[in-house]
Amino acid sequence: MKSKKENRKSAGEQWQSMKNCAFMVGQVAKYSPSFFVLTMLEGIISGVTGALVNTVLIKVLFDRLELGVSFASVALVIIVTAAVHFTGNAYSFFYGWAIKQWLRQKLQRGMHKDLFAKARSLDLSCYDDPVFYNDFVWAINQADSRASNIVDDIRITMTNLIFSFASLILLLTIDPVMVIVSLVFSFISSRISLLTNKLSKKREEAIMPHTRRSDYVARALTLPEYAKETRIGHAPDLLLAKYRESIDGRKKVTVRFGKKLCVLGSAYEFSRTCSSVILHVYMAWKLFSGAITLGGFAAANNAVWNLYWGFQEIAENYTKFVNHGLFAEKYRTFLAYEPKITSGEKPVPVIDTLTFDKVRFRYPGAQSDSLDEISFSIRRGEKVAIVGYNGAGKTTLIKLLLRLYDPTEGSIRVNGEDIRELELQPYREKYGTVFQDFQIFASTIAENVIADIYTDDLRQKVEQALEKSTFSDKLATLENGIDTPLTREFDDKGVNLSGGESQKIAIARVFAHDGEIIVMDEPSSALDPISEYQLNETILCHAQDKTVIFISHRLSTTRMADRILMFANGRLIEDGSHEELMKLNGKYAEMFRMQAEKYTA
Amino acid sequence: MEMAVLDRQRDYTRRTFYLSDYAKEMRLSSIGNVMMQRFHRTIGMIEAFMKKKLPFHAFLRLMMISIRNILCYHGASLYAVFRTIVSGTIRYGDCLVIIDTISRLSYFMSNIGDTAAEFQGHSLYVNNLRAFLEYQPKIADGPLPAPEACADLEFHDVHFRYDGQEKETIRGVNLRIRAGEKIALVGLNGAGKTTLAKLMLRFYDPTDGVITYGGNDVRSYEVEGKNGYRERISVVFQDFKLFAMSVADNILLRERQKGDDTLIAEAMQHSGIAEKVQTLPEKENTLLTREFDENGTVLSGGEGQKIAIARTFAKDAQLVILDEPSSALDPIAEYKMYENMMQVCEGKSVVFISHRLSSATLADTIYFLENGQVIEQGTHQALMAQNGKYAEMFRIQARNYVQEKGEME
Repeated sequence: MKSKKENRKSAGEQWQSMKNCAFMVGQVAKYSPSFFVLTMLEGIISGVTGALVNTVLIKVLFDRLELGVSFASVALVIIVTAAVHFTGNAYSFFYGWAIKQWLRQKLQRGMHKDLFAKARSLDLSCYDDPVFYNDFVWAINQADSRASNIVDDIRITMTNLIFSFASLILLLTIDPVMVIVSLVFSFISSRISLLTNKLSKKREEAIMPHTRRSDYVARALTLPEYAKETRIGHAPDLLLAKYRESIDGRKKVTVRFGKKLCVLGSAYEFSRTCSSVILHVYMAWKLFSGAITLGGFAAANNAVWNLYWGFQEIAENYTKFVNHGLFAEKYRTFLAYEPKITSGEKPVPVIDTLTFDKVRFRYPGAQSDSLDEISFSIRRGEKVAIVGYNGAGKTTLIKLLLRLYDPTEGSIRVNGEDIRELELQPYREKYGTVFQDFQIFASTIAENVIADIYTDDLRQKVEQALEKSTFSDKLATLENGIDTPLTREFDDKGVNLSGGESQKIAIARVFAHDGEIIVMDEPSSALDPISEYQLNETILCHAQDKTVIFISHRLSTTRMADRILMFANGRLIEDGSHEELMKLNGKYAEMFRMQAEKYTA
Repeated sequence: MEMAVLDRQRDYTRRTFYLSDYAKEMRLSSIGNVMMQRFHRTIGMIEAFMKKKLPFHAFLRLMMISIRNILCYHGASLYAVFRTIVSGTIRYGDCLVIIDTISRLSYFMSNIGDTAAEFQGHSLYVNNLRAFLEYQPKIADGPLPAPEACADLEFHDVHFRYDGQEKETIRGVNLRIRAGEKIALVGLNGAGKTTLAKLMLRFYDPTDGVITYGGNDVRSYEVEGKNGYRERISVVFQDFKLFAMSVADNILLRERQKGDDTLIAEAMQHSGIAEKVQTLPEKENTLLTREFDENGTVLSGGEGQKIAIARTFAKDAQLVILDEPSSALDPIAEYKMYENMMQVCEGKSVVFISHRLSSATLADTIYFLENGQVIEQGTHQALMAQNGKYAEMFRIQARNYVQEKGEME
């Protein structure tokens, strides 16, 4: 038995879920008022025409038949009914099948404009929180379809309410007892179907992890990026074993819930049959005792059925709103998220010194610090190489510098000013950055290089940047030059670049951006030695007066640096020029010698 | 354009806004504006498509439904009424029953109609399914079991062109990897190195020329299974993938058997991942990726690469192919990995592809590729003496290291 408290709690939740749904409806009304109004109108029109055709006009028809009026007068009723029927259909077809579809696009456009802006403002740390991340992906992927589904479900409820109400009134005029009987049974069966729905939802939740498993297996066995691995080892055997597990799991869940669902289903059918039998016996009795006419009997029979279906649909729809409410809540949380990395107020000066002051950083949820009391200072124009073992915290350092994260302790300062005090966007624009895991976007080469909307006056800039990143040779082979679309996402003639070529595009971004500071995380990992050499030369010559910070595992490239920062386990362990560090004969020297051995042997 | 294509494109732009892969660029540059523009353009195209097609669709449907439901239903009612009132051939009660039944009848009829239409869709799907099931792989089994001992692998004037491309990627390559030989494939980006590796693995067959293993055309061997040709090869790809399985399963890539524990431990030791695995909550049984487990471990690029490398140590293969196996490794890890590889692969053939030419010096023979052709081949010393493209490339990379030595002396 549920306690009162629980009941109240669940009532509170339902109220909250309704409020969330109302919020979504508000969103729809905001982005596409016509979608909202016309859909509601659709609901009313189908309700009214449905009520007219199936209850009112049928009653009139039966009455007239009974009275024995002329054929013309009965035919008129039928023609009017057909006309009403047609009008209702015409609205819902032209609106529902056509206009509504493009209004939905308008809704999608409007909602996504704000959603995308919000998504771009999310802190990177949100991606580290799997729960938030999943909700966020869910919110952004389903926003418009959910919103329009909510409005649609309101429409359906409205139609059914009007329809049921009309049937109810009709029944009242024939015999109030039937109203009571059918209401009681409708109530019972709608309770049963509510229970059924709840149980099915639980079943779905229980099946979900198993489905995720088999979906993963299906993906790993079909996606091209896995194709090589699945052909060379015996991974498919392992994957298939997982698949079988998932099927077994699903079977168990189905059996477990199946029994209960079976009982509920039978109860439902039983209540339905009972009500039908009782009503028919009662109506037959009334008919034989002469209390109602044959026409009345037929109309009542019809109305009982309509009422029954109407209630059924309302109950089914109602459970959908609980789901909608859940979604709406996530959506609201996402919209209400306040980024923790916020812009400061101070204008960004020319960066003369860049100082890390006792910076400590720990990823949210991590067990240990990724960076531990890092202090150093970089002057304008300095070329700094960051080296160290895998997992030493080098990339994290870059992320802090660009304010993708803020330090857990300590501060990063520009000319003595904490970077958190500076305006965020202008601060980030001071940097041109290439990441290790850079991305190529499905747009033209020019847009990928400019990393913004491309206009033709930027042509020279793009071409020069590509020249510097040693992409020119490849560019010459492309028919459409810098207007060539990359990837086949939008264009079947799109070009898929190799890893090294893509990296050159990413590097060209830095040259085109022309910021004060260049940051490169493993800029040459996929480049052949010649391209790497040329790249180093261009960086040196292009960036003479610029500050350059780069991470590299190829220590030969670190020699062009004025200064080398050697990291191990989140700590800065050595700091100095190549010569100094070689003289120091510490970890850097060891690492360098190891790599140089094969070249100098 | 088809709706499905537009939908796919819209989904792509949407992904760039929420996937973590794109998150950094989205925040640090204005590429988001471009994606936003694409999104609006795609939605615009969807809208235009709908405005063009849908009104007519709606009209057709309305007519269909009107004829089926309205005309049939109300027409039948009218007819029943006519027979009752005018011709008097049916009774009043029957008329009511007819009107009542016909409404249900029309409902069921329309249901049947809708369902029948769905079968068209099913049939389309079944067509695809059958085409897929009946597909005969072009890389087919030959009659022979692949030799168990390490054997010579030879390319005889091999040409290869990818489907749908005009230019050949491989243009007449001859090379011979003797049993137990270590060879390096070097060259500029796009020279065809990875394609050669794919041909060795029989992921593709040459468009012209022959590849032999142990003297027989590789096409004459079984492909997979115990006696399969691919069973003899182990490989690390540039774009390796880890599976959402335990570390041990990821390394073995097969069912675990008794005695595999030492194999796994050794493989982890050799690839340099053992230390890291010790720190994981369930050691080598820790689940990788967050696919199934919120607490699954996500490895860094370098760590993932070490797992992929451990696979080759755990598989008893005669030919080992390493395609840029160390791109994400730090110098110490790289150095140790190569040391171990050379030691473990005693007696096995090894092919490595690397831009770090220091590793090429380990090879017995180096093949320098350019535009799909071998333009230089020989030992490191021979190629350096030849003073060609390889020597130039090597000197450029070695310059900074060599300078160092000069200074030190």
